[in-house]
Amino acid sequence: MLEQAIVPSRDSFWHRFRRDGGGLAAVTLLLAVIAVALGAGVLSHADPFHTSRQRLLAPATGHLLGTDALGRDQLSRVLYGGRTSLEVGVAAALLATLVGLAVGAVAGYAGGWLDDLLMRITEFFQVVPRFFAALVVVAVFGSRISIIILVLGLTSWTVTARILRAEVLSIRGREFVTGAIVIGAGRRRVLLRHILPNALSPVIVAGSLQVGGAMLAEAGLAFLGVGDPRVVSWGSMLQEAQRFMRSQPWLAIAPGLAITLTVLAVNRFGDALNDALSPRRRR
Amino acid sequence: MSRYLLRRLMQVIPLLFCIVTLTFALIHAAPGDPATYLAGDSASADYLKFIRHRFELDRPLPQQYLTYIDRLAHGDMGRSFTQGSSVAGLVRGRLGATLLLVGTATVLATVLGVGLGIAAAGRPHSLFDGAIGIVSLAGYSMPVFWLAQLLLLVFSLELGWFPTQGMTNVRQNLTGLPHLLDVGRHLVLPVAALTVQQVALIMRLTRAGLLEVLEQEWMTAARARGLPERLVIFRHALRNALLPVTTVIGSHIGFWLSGAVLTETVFGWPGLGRLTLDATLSRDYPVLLGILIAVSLAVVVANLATDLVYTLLDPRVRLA
Repeated sequence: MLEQAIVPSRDSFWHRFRRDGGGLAAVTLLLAVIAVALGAGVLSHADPFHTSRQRLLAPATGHLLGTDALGRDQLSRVLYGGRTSLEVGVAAALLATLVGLAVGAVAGYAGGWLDDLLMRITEFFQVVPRFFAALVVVAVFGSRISIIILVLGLTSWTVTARILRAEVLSIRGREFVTGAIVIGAGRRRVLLRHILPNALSPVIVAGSLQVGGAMLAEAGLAFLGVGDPRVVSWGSMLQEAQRFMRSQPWLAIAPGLAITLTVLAVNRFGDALNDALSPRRRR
Repeated sequence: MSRYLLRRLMQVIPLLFCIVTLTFALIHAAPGDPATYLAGDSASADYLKFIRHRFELDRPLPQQYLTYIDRLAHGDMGRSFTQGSSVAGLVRGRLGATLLLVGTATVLATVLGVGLGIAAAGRPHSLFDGAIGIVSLAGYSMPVFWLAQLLLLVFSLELGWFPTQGMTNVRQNLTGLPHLLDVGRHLVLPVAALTVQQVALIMRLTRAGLLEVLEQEWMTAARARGLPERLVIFRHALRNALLPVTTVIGSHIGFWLSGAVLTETVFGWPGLGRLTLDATLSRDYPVLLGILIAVSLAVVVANLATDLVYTLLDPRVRLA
């Protein structure tokens, strides 16, 4: 009983999370999107790249969402587009979180000139407009999906780095850290075993919110026509739809709805995570 | 104050230096030679040589770099690979139209966003607050160019209330007030798309900030002194709640400029969008670098403006 009062039990996170109806709905929607993206091949037998003479068909039983200007099945393109979006969103956010973790932990714990240098670099990356930087990189190196993930990840770690640095700075002076040092724990052990685990919650929240940002950025690049032509992207579908706004407006509906719902689910999940992980810092 | 401004503006120099250096390094690391790209695959050796000479690509990289820095210091950003004209001129010619979009949207979004945020914070967890929350989340999660497409579909193609493309009506040669009204009509839909994107963020932050401030003890003290609720909110709470909002508006200018570029593509607005797109597709590096520099400068200026607004909102903040 006493122990429970002092050490917050693990399931308190789930207790708090479960009470958030919107958060649960977001998780359900997100799981559905992931399932649909993974099962795209089963859900639709049409090859998303297969062109045919049946161009610009209106939605009907054969093609539930119609066909595009090259006669490709719109439904299967929407389904496969989810893979690209999820892949870029998750990979870029992971990369950003890892870089942010490294920079923030070192800057906060080492202090001194290293902290100054890392913070100058962070400030630089905060000012450089991410989307325009991505355009330059894509123009230079071509628009492979790996390049897009790299550039989006490497331009969006600053928030994580700053959050973690602030957390580390506030935790390193606490008694339990001093205790660990007194017992004889080395610098690496103090940082990795004592400080970082206590500083991770806001980093996880920041990471979850970066997923949505990366998804929107990828769609934006593809919408400008500089996405990876070898994969299906919701953004490039919207770019193609732009030419047929007058005659086939439905081409713009499904891809746009798909990305909006996906990003919405991701963002709402991030909010729910934030509320459940840090109950004192409510929105 | 003016000393502070000067010092902050001087910080632009290392920033530009880093951007130019990084971009030069990137271009040099890239596979392929810009000259072959410009001249085409079947170009003769003589023509390649001519192209290299014309765009000074035959000089050693350090020299190209130093020449660029030297020219940049004089406001010259080189010549476009594809159009041959001055990059500074190209960017300056387009930047105005983009800033008109983003500026109008930011002013509208700040007024609307703060207003709706106050209204939502006034009755937390009410139906209205919930609706505001959902709209805000949706606006924040929606690609701005898709919203632009939807607006175009409904209000322009379906209802015919607003023009579909461009900044002016090219068939009529309007001047004076009719010209301004014409631009205004073309402005409505792109600005609406950008405003929704910004309002979503601003009202969410205003609401969160206000709710946090209203819990403070000095708020209870203000009420205990018998101040009417209106004064409590507008004179005491709002100033403090708006500090984070100001920060976020300043730091999001770069993001909103990229939103503007995407929106311009939907409406054929003659801003940076088309220029950015063409430069990216044709690997026109001088133009891309010029745009990157212009946008970064806009971000720095916006951050500076944020600091100035801070001193207005919070007299405790001193600029030094």
